Amino acid sequence: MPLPERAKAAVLAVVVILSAIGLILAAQAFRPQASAPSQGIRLSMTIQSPGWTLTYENNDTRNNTAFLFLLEAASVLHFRVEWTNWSPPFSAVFVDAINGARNGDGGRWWQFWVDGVYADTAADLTVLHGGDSVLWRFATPEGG
Amino acid sequence: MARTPAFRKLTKLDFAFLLILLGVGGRLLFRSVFHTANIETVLAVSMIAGAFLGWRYTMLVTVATMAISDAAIYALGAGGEFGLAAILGITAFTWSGMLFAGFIGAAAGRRRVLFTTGSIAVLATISIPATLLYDIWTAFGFWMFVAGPHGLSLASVYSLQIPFTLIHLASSIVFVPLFGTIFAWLAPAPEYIPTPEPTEGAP
Repeated sequence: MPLPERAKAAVLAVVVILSAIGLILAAQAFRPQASAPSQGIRLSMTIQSPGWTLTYENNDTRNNTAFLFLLEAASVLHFRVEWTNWSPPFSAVFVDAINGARNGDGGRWWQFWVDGVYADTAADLTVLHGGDSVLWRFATPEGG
Repeated sequence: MARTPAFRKLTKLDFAFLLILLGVGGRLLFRSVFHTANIETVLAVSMIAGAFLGWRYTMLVTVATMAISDAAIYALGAGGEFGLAAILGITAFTWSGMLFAGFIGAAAGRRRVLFTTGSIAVLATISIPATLLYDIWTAFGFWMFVAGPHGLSLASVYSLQIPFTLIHLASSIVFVPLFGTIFAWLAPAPEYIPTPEPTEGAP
């Protein structure tokens, strides 16, 4: 006997909800995970904006993402960082302003490189390793 | 369930307007208010427009939805880090990608009656390849205009795209049947036309 239309609709709703949950959980598996290092590592950072440059280095830090290390530098050097939190299912941060220089001011935006390589993920998902050097530049988009 | 007479008076243009509202509202809500990556309603409304209203209306709904929501999103400052040339390039890919999805919806809708759970399920299933095509196409556009010039390979871009595509698939398989059900309910049911009985007599 064929299912009544309401039963079919209920089955479809259950299948849709379970599929969506499964897909979102699968997406989480691809999210980079930055486990805290067992011992401190050496990292350095340069932050460049027209008119000022900040440099920071720590030979024994456990803040091993580009974002955590930026916050550490901000705490030590006393400058302000502002960011937007992107919500789940793929949480990430987007840095809006560093030391008063805000994205869009003068057509400039914050971008960062790790060891000279343009970052391909959000700052909080970019895992740093011992000896890495991070460059934050407040610059106009230049396409490379 | 009987539909109220008021719904029967909705024209195709009314439906298109409602879909544009859903598309723009959903995209802005998830993108600019909730800050949620790749959960969006535009692909769903494009497919629904194609399936229920035909390919001409899917062009209207898709272009209007993308134009209004893009204008709002970029006016709020998003994407400025890419530069104007890259934004225009990405726009060409996103708009055409959404149009593909709408045409897929139109092709699906032309061949079946859209007032049953089975038909909505088929439309939801078709949204999977439509979403995959859209993401493959737009990731290529992102590589061409943003990632490539910064030295990233196309393979890296596709690899990084995987979690976002999984989320986008979840978004499509929820919103396509949800909106499809709403619009199947709102749309006037097809009239039953009895088959003429053969009459006897001399030709």
